[in-house]
Amino acid sequence: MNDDLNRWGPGADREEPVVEEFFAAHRRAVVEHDADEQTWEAIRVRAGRTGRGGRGGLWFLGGVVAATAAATTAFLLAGQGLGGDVAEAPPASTPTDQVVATSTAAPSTTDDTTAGTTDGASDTTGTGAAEEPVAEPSTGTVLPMLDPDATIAVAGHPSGDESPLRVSVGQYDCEAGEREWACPALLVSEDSGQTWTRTVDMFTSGFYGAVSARGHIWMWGPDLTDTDRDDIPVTPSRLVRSDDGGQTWVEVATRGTTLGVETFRSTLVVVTEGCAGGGPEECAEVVVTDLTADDATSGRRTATLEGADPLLCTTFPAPGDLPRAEIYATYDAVYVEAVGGVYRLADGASVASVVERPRDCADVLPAPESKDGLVAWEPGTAAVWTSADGGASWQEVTDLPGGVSAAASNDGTRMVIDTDQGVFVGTGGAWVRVTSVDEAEVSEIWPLGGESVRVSGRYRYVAPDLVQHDGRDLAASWLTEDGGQTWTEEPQLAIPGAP
Amino acid sequence: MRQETPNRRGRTGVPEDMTTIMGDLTAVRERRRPAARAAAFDVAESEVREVYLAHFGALAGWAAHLVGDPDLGHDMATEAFVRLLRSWESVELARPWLYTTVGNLVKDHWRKRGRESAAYRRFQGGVDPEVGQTSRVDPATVLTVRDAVESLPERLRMAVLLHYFGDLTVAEVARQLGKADGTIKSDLHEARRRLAVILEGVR
Repeated sequence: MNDDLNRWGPGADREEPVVEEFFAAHRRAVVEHDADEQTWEAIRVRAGRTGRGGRGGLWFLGGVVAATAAATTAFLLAGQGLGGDVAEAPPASTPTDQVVATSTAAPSTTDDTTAGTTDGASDTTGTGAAEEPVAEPSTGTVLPMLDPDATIAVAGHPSGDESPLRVSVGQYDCEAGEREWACPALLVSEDSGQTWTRTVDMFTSGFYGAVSARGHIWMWGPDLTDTDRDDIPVTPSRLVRSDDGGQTWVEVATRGTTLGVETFRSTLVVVTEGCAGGGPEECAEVVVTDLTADDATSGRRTATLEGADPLLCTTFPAPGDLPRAEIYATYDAVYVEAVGGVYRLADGASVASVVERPRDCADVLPAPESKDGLVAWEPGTAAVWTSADGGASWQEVTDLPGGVSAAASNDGTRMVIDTDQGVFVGTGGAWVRVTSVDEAEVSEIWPLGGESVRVSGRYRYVAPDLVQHDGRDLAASWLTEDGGQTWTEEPQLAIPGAP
Repeated sequence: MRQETPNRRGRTGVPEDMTTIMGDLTAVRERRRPAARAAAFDVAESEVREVYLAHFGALAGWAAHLVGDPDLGHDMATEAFVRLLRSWESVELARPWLYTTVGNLVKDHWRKRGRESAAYRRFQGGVDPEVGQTSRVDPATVLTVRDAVESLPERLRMAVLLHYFGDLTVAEVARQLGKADGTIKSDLHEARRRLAVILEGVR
């Protein structure tokens, strides 16, 4: 161990030998990997060392696609504005700023909505979860319900503010959970979040995301047909929708593996993996369509997300290393974070542009009450920026009270930030500490529009025994509706069957 | 030339003379002139490869232990080396830089996802059911590093991760985090006190 431990003071570590023993035990448990040639070659290639003096970050693109990608940030596949004309399609090989693909990605063709509910899938849960399909089908297909004995460990933030129907994705205790895998379950409220019902066992059906809006629920999941992980059901990527509170489900066709889904008013945004001429890790596609659409292979607008370095800001989402997309829809634009970049699809536009972040891999959130306002920050540092032009230029926020872990703003000026010194509200140079949330395990700050901001932990429900040490609560949540002057603590979700 | 901080790694299998190697590499970088930049492309790759051979295995294992997934740990270490190769000219000390980079990736992973597994373990009482309640257990099986680190205030976490588990010196941690040595010592002192209470409680 480091010799300089004892420089802190006489007998410093001897006072707490348990700490040294603890970390020593963990250091002994580290299993070294091989430094093999294959990995080194992968590092070289990813760092742009394939061709001497070549373009770093675009090594994966080839032919016309590469040439075009160097000149533009996105490819138009098919444009269809509301009531407008379909965009004229130049030849795919034309290196212009807008290129229409001559072929489209194959839509998801799974026609068996119950796929993933087979014996093999249900056997892997360790909870016997797939045995109780209690909902009676009306239209669509019934999905397996969550085992009544399954323990919901945590539940995420609900969606669906515009109607009494809300959903939250819970994580239930399962064997796969011991290996950093999630076992999600759909929790539904039909009374604006007052009471909740445990419904679909998402895990056994291969669904990992869910969102609700205006009385509808969508669930989607990755392509796990090639998974070789223990205890993980082998399931295809699917997007399904329920119009009856989660009792039955209909398939929504997509352009490929669904990375993320979001809604905004009457709009449904679906992001899928890959694009015409590009592989799944190189680019993605976004479809903007109507909430009630049964086919999300096309819609009002379809654009390709391409041009950022997909490997520069590699993230490692759980479960496993499944790729995903974060989507933020505002009145003025749809922002998508996927395949290494943040993309902006302006209202009415059919070409997505790369948002140039002020620093590699900085987190970015739109300011929903500003036309093109963005907030960016680099977690763990005292670095926050704002942009009033969709990321074309950035201004650094100075005089921060500490290292920032999250930031948000509705109007792009007045901010709420979480720092290692606490949560603060204000602008550069004038910060007011929010004392009521000082003890929170803040991990997220969401600008909700107007003057509303939510500061919260990652979850909205954590089983009582899971509350972290020294009283900090992973499911704590505070809401302000007056720009941060007053804050109201929000209760945890009332999950049935909670211990 | 700036004084190098001695590297006393040994536990991870890194040669003890790595300090010398790194010192030499730093010297090579500092002697570079603009006219030599074409050749620097090859030099950088060669230098980073030496660092790769010396540190990758331990770094990947370190990350894997933190995230509980060998493949993910391998990916994180790979990502750190990709960034190192891209940023080689501006990196002063490779090993602290690599561990800090992976530490940030791990923290980001913890922050964004993967809360569930640790939560399950605490929910089950923090004890491996196969080990049982009565036997004296290895501390590493009672609480994960993540449990310990995340029990601390945010401002203390990275220093603890890098110093206690990453085995970086106080000076290296201070340099990587942009803080004074005294601040890091003070932070580690506070962290140690807090951790002792928690660890004594789960014994």
